[in-house]
Amino acid sequence: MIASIQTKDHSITRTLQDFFAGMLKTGAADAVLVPSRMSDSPYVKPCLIASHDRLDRTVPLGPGFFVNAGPMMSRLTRTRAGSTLVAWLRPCEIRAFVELTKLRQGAREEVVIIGMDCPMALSRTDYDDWAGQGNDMSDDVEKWIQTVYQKPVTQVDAWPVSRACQVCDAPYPVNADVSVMLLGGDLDREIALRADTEKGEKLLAEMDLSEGQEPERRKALLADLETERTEAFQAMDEEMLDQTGSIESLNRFFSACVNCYNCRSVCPVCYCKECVFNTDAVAYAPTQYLSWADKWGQVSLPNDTVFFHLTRLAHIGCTCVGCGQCTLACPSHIPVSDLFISVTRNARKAFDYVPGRDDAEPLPLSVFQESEFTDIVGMGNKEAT
Amino acid sequence: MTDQIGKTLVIGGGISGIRASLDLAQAGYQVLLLEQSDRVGGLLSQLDTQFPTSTCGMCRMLPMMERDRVDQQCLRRGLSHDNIEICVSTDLISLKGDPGNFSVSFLSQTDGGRDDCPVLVVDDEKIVRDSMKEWLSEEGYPVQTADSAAEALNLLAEGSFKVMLTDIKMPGMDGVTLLTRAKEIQPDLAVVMMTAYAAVDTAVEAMKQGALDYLVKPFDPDAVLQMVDRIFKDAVAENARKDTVDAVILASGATFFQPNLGINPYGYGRIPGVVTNLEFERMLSHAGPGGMDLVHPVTGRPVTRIAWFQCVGSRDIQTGTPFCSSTCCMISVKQSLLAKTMYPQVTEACVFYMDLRTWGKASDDYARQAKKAGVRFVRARVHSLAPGLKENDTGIPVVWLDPSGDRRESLFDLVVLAPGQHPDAFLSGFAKDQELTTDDWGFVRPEPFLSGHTNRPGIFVCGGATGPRDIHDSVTGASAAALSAMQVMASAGRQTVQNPEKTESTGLRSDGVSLFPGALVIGGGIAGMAAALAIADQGFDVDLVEKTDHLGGNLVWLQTAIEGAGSFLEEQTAAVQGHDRIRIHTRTCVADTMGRPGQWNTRLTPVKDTAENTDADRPEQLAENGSPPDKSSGGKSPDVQVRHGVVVLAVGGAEASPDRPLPDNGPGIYTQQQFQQALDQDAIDTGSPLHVAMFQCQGSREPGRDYCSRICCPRSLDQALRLKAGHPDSRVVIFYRDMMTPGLSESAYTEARKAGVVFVPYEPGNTPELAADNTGCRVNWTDPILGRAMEMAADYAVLATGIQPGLSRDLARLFGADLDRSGFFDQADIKWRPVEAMDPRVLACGICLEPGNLALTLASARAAAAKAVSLLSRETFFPGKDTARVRSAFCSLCQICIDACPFNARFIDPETRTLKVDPLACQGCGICAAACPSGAAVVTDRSLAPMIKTIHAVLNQPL
Repeated sequence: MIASIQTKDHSITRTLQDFFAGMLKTGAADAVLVPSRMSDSPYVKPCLIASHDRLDRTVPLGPGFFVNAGPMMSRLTRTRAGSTLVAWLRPCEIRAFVELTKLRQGAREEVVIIGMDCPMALSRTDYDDWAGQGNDMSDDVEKWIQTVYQKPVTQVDAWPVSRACQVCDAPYPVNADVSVMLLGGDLDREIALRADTEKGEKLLAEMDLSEGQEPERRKALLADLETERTEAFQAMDEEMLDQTGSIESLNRFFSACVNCYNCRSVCPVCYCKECVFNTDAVAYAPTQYLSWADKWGQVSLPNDTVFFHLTRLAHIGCTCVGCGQCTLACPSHIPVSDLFISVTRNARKAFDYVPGRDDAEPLPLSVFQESEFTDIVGMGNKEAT
Repeated sequence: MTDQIGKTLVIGGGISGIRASLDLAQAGYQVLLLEQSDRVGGLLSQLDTQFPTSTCGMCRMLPMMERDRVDQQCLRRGLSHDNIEICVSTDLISLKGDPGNFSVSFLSQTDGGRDDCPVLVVDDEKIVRDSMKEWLSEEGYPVQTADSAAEALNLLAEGSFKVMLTDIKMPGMDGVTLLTRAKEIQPDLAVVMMTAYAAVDTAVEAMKQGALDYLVKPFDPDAVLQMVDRIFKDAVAENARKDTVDAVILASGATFFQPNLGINPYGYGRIPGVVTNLEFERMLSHAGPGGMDLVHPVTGRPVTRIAWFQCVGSRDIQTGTPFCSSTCCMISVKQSLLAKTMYPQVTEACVFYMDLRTWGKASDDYARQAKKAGVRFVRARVHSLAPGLKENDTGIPVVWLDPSGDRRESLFDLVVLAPGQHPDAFLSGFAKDQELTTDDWGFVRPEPFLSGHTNRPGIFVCGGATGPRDIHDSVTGASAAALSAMQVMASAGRQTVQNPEKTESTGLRSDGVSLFPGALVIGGGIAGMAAALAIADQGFDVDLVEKTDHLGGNLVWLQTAIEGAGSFLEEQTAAVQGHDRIRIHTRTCVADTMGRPGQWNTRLTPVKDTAENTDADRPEQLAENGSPPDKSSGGKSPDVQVRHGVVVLAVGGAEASPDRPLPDNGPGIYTQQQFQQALDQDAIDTGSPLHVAMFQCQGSREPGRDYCSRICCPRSLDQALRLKAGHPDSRVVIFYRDMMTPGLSESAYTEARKAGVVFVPYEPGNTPELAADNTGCRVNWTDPILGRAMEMAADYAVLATGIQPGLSRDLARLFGADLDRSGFFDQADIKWRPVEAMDPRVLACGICLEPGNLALTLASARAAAAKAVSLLSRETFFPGKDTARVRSAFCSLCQICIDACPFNARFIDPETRTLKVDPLACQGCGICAAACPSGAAVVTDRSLAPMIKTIHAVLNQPL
């Protein structure tokens, strides 16, 4: 089922705000989760809104992306709340939430997920620039929307979108209940929504919308995006191999890391209650540091910086959704996500695993196989021992 | 006396002894384990690998519960357990008594051996002196001789002797006078008179004067030795340790035949390239003499061509061993497969065999792997290696005749002899002392239907002492013997050692899991009944479920075929029915189960109608989420809920239906079971002369049912012999691929050949053709020797189709177990843990476990019962250092460890909402620790810290 919302007053933002207000008014939703500004500040964060008259600061589509809402969804759905929540999510936020549900950190029974073709994001400094260009941000937002959905772009005006978005191979919603099909759409006139699940159909039916259809150009645009982004990924992959292909170069890559753990805090699939790097597993005695200094001539402190990133790479090797938050959050301007996206996308190929692709697809680490990767583990091959 | 801890003596520290000891120790009994050699492990510790895993799996015998009580991880390196006192290098001196009260004395070889027991032989005949000296010296006694009483007295005055053997009639001073004088010099000297038969009276007279005993000429060397041994033991008995035990398990094992002692040694000891399979096992081992290389022991050149000779000292009248040694075929298959796959240099691996005895459920497939890997199997017995052969640069020439009688010759670098298993030297003496019933070859003969029971109450036997045994049968038999010992101790009112962890920490530890003290046995055949009885006899409640309306299973139709089975079945059925701890549920099947392993709550439901009986052991469709189907239909449900801590699957099996197209099931075509029933009912047409054709391996050992059922060859032989006995002029032809008569069952094969039964081998793909019409059956085949088309008219054609297991995958999975590739119960390890699933609370026995005859079925049933009793004797099990633990503070409850655990060992405790580890299921593999990102899943000594250190060391720089 595909429905259509007529665009009001040439404002896609307003149109969507009304759409959410309608849900709250009719009771189709008890609350909606939408990115919103909290004051005059340009920064947006996911906000849980229960009142239909508090939607005017929401920015459903825009280049601001400072929190991946996946883990927020986990907080909201950890146990049953007995109410219906509608969540407006970027594709990488849905992917993160799907991975978290597999890890029993949330459940989607009580949520209706509306996913949209992705508007991409800007880095924090570029966002500051972008948001500071005029007095009223809403015009800039409308302009952004009108630009990013009409053809493959890697920058809007002077501002390049984040590297993670430039190489993203799934900028469209997967595993949503409702997909908002913006790419190639005549957005000044209407917005097309497709129900992908029964829950989605129920929601759209309750909203009493007119019938619509997928924008004609959307499929072709998606194909173009795929081609461009595959190339962009390959370029980044080679760059990363060049920059981190040896222990020495890897050390150089992370040399500015100060172990602030921001990347871990914002990572949507780093779900541990207590990180192993906060435990005694990596607590060393003073003599240990001295003996290392003795052995290697020097130990930079804090130590275990690269080791921390390698561990995180191992932990999220299959679940990394490529949202780029780690780069956005890094105070030392390390392109963390470039490395993570490059490594994890290659690693998960070995398991034919795609994070967020399918609720029912088990995490590779959770599947026990008596014999696999025999060329690596050497089992069953006595010669190799 | 009742508060005394039960104790069992186990004689022999091979795998049978270890298995029996561990079973007893784990059940809380004390074990005294005596081993003559200086280490435990027996023959098996000399084998590098075992089939079908092609690795060593000995450690899988280690206990599944309270694993901390054994502090080693490799059984080849030794054994320890709180409840087992292990005495290696120790001789049994004496054993006397009855069940519940055996006195045993034993002596460490370091505390005085035979070299401390000098013997003086006095005889005027040189031949007597010399041969006595030779016999006794060989056994380790220091011997001096004297040709007269005078010289003897001189020697006695000079040195001290323990024993003097003296002739009576000698020139000069006679033996009786010597006795008196000698006693004056050395009063404690043991004197044995040697005399001809005619002078026995004198000898008896001498005994009144202080002689210990007498020997009658001419001597049997064994008699002399036993006499001296007895004196030696009595003499050292003063130093010996004494103990009291309730029961005895004899597990003294077998020894390998020494080829050089045979009439045909195949050049062993003379041609350097001829080795035994034990020697080759060392060569094949990466820890062996050649290291990573397979080289000739003398020339050091790489070995490329290897031949294996089967049946050296087995199936061989010349060496007095008409029996088959059971294991050598598979050892050679394994060695040839490993040689071929581990060493690409090996171009020729060739096994010369008579019948390739790949009996049992996994062997045939393994042999196919070997064939696939390029091992050549040649059906031939190489007569000998040419006398005077000098090994030269080209190799050892081996000559044989192919089936058509043509001479073939090949050169090999190595010839590996597969020597048979023979009774151990200790065994004959022990059997004689204890008056144990033995067979013609000296193996202990167990009582019929009581696997592991000897004719002496309280003395049980297992392993190689009962005849050639493989690992699987030995381990099973050892557990069965352990059960018998437990029964003796229980009826003597003995206690078990308190669970130490329980006493240490009453109520303090929350990480334990408990077991409901009852058993569910599924299947009321003889296996299920035997298991149920044994468990119930130890004081636990048993629910016995049977889908039909009667107990007995296949033994009902077999009872006339097996001598004595009828009354045995009757006794067992009555015992089960009369047992106040056994609840019998006939016409019932398992519907579903709830609860964690060990705390199962299983619903039994009546079998609906006879049409479904064949599938009755298949559980009903489970409702969603594994919860039981709604039963709210008004309290009238005939279903029964049963709680139990262990489950024994004994659902049996049936004769497989013939799967090759039969000519309209002609009047004369029978399956083996049908023919047996006809024989038992005297329904065989006796119009003579009778012509019967028997076909082995019908649908067996072929894709689809690619295992040997182990029972059909012996059954065919039994039927053939019965026909021949009743109708001597009848003609019986058995068409076979390999006659599977391992061990002592070989004698039926020999007997059948003697009785004139004709054996015609065939290869798969060249199966004899069978046609039938109203007038009878016709068989057409190509004779392998003559190479000519043959035809035979038969009144009866009997098809041996083998066993089809009756276990459904759904039922196995209900309890977390599974089926193997052939449809039998999937064992945790086919050799080392043969009656249990990976979860030791799930047991199986009888022919749903593996194909086997009545004796094997009873052994597996008693082994399963032993395991069940061991488990049920304990209330709570705690994680040990080898099982995983949970650091709940770090646990995010993501449950990835639960998903990743291949053993279903991790679960969320519904009460505390924390993750727990089931110590009986956890194997300590560490997969959980690898999957857990936050370090909440840990296995002791497998923590992150050493890994970090390793990474640092590898990188040699900080990260």
